[in-house]
Amino acid sequence: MGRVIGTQDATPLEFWVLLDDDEQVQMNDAVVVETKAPTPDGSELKLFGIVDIIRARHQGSVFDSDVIEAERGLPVELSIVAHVKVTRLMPEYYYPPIPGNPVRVVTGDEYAQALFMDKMERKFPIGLSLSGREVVYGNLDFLTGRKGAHVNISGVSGIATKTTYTTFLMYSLLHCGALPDPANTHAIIFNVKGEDLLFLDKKNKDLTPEDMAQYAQLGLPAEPFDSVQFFVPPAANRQGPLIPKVTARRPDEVTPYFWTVRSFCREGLLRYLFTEVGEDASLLSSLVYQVENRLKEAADEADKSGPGPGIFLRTVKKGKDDSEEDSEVRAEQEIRDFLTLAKAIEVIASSTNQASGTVNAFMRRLYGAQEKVAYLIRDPGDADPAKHTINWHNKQVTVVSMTDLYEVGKSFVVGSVLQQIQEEKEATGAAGPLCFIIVDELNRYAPRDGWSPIRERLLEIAERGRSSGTILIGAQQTASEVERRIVANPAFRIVGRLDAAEAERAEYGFLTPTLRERAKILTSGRMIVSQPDIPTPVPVCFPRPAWATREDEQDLAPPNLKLGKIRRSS
Amino acid sequence: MRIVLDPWGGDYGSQVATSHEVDTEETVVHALEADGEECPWKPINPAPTILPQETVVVDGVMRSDASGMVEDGERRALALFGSFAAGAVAINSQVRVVQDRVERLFIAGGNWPTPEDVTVPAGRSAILCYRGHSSKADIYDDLREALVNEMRRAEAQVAEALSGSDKLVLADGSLKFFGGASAVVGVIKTIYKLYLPAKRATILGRLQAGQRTPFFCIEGKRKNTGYKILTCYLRLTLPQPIEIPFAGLVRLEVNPSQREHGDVSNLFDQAAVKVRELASRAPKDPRAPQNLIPIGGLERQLRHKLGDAQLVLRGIKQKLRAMAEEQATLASFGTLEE
Repeated sequence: MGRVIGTQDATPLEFWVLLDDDEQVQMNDAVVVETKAPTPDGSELKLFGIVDIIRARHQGSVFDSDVIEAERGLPVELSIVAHVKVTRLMPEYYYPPIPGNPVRVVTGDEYAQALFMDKMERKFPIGLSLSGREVVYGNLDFLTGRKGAHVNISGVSGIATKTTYTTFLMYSLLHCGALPDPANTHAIIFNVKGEDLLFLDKKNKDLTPEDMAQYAQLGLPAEPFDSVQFFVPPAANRQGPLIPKVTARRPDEVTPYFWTVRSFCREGLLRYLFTEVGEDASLLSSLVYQVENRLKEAADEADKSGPGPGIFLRTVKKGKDDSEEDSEVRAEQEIRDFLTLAKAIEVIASSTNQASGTVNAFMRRLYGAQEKVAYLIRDPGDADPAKHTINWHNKQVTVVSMTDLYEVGKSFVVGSVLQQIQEEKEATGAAGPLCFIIVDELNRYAPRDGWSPIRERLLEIAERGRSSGTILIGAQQTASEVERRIVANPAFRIVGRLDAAEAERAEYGFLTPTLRERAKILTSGRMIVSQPDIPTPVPVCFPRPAWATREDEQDLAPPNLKLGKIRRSS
Repeated sequence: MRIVLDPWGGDYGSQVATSHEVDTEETVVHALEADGEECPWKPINPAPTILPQETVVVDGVMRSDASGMVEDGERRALALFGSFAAGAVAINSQVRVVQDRVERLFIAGGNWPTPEDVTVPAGRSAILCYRGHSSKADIYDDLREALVNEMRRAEAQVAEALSGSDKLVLADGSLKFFGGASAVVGVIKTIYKLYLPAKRATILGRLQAGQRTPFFCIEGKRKNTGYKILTCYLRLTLPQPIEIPFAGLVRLEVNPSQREHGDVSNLFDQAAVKVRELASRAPKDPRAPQNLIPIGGLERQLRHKLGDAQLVLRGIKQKLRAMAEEQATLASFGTLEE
């Protein structure tokens, strides 16, 4: 490929290489230089590295306009020089390469050596090198909790392909064959916007042979996910039949989800209706907990008289001098829907020792939210609540669609499901089997400033999930707006295209200066992945999803023409 | 009174070394009436019948690395470690440096017997060889001139090696050291003497950019050697009102023997067109426009090939120190034996 040059310092950490003419080298290729060094055992020193910049210049030209004169008789010499950032020294003897030492591009096993991938005991493919020649692996031990956990992805919406890459990572994890218990591993994906994730189980008809070849190269099958359950919100009717709110899939292919009043009370989910960050959020929290406790008691009471969707509470405040008749009206009644529950909650709130201003603020919020969630916390009617509870054990991958929900509704769903997962995982007391939680827009759920119950929940997962086998794959447009511990804790930190101003923030300090610049111009389908045991972030590309990401990408089975004709004729 | 400026940058000396418009009687070089171009004495628009495929520009650079003396008993003479490099830029569809070579001389003056070669270490592994050379010079300027002459000889060799049909070889400076057979055109950018009598010199004022004078023959009588050469003036640019009237002029030389080999007028025309194409521009080159574009770059590369002056000087000192120690040891052995 070229030789180490002598006009710039060569050090054990970086050096420059004069490229041979017509050499096919680009940034991010891995190279090696072998040099005679005074190593203790007298062996040759191998310095592996990654090309992080290539520059071309005319030697012997002094003025900018000399390029024109170079064609008119000015002798100049083209020099193309690559800067190499050393990633690994074998043996680990810190001694520079010597000017003149030949440098070559490495592939295959040597590429793996350059990036320490040969040292990974358990690994999963995270993409292909930008040249398309090499498979880049992630160290599974840093994802599954053995040595580290969690993934965080940043990038501009629409270009960074965060969602696609997270699903690809999930696919790779489930199919790489290195997960400890893949059959019992689960993934929950919160789908915030659009219906892109509702086709995970459908083949992508646009998959080309080249795409298939990339999957083969990665050692992955090119198939859609085979075990997926789609939970979608019900249509916004708080009474009447339960209709899934979905346009892209048939109603029988999805499961509408809801909570009964009793499960809402038993699990203490009231707090997730108070996630709007504001000054009074923490002031309200003690009142919220008081009310939650009372609701829990009511749920426990109701459980004693057998299973059912409702609880028994008073909905009218008990006066001092109520007559017998009045007190009958004001007796406890069965509550099955959220609007009635809100009334009961007001009774509970006003009977606490909280200042009336606090109670008013609390109620104002509750009433503000009630219409927006009343169809999520509802009277089941004919439906079997057990079938419509979000259950992540049913299938390997669970997609929870929150499309068209109000903000308060989304927060409620995310908070409630996270709490459920965490409680179930902690009850088992074991880390395995793993449960991956994929959440986009972390800036909304775990903002840098302010307190919210979801933020606390996510923080807990980020800090303790490693031991309980709960792995957070979080994404956001701007890491600078997310709670610091949630973006700093993950072992895998990934960026797609970054906004220019955002790329300069300290949160992206793990990127080298050149990669920071690169992140500003990354095209879609390309990510930069940083992981603990590879000393430099690695740009990767990944194949087109083997599953459909849009309705029109689905590979539908060819329609039965005969049947179609019969139907039409009849 | 009018004050006019020499357009060259101050540090390069002035382009015009004479303010006289006519050579005086003491001049050793003068123009002959005969042997000139057979045409009326007026500006010529060069129109070569065919342009060469390749233009080659030859040049050299030199440097005195260290000056000193040689001693033998009571006998002493000045001595000089000098290096020079010569090479050429070949310009066709691409531009490249060819035939570049470096030579180093250890010159002893005062007709000293030719000394042995001196090998000098440089850096970790390189050895520089200073070829022993004798000169009759007894002042440093003449020693340096001996070095220049050797360099010019090397340039002539380069030009010789590169000349051929379809090629125009341009040499930087006069052709004094070039063999008569080669079709080389010398480009003289410094005008020391106006070799024309007054009445013919007026043509210079009438030359437009790109035009040349008809060629004429000049004869030099220098010490005991004489030479004849064909020459013409070429205007590259018109002088600015504040510049001396000779600004933008170069002189071209062709060996008279070329008359036997081909059409000298056409050779001058070719050279005139090519030299104008290769003329440099102010302010990028302080010697614009006479210093040709390839020359600047070539000189830079050749000078680079001479090596780092500090490193070379250190090598020379190291060598001389080693030689002195050796002699001291030999001398002490000598006394022991006695």
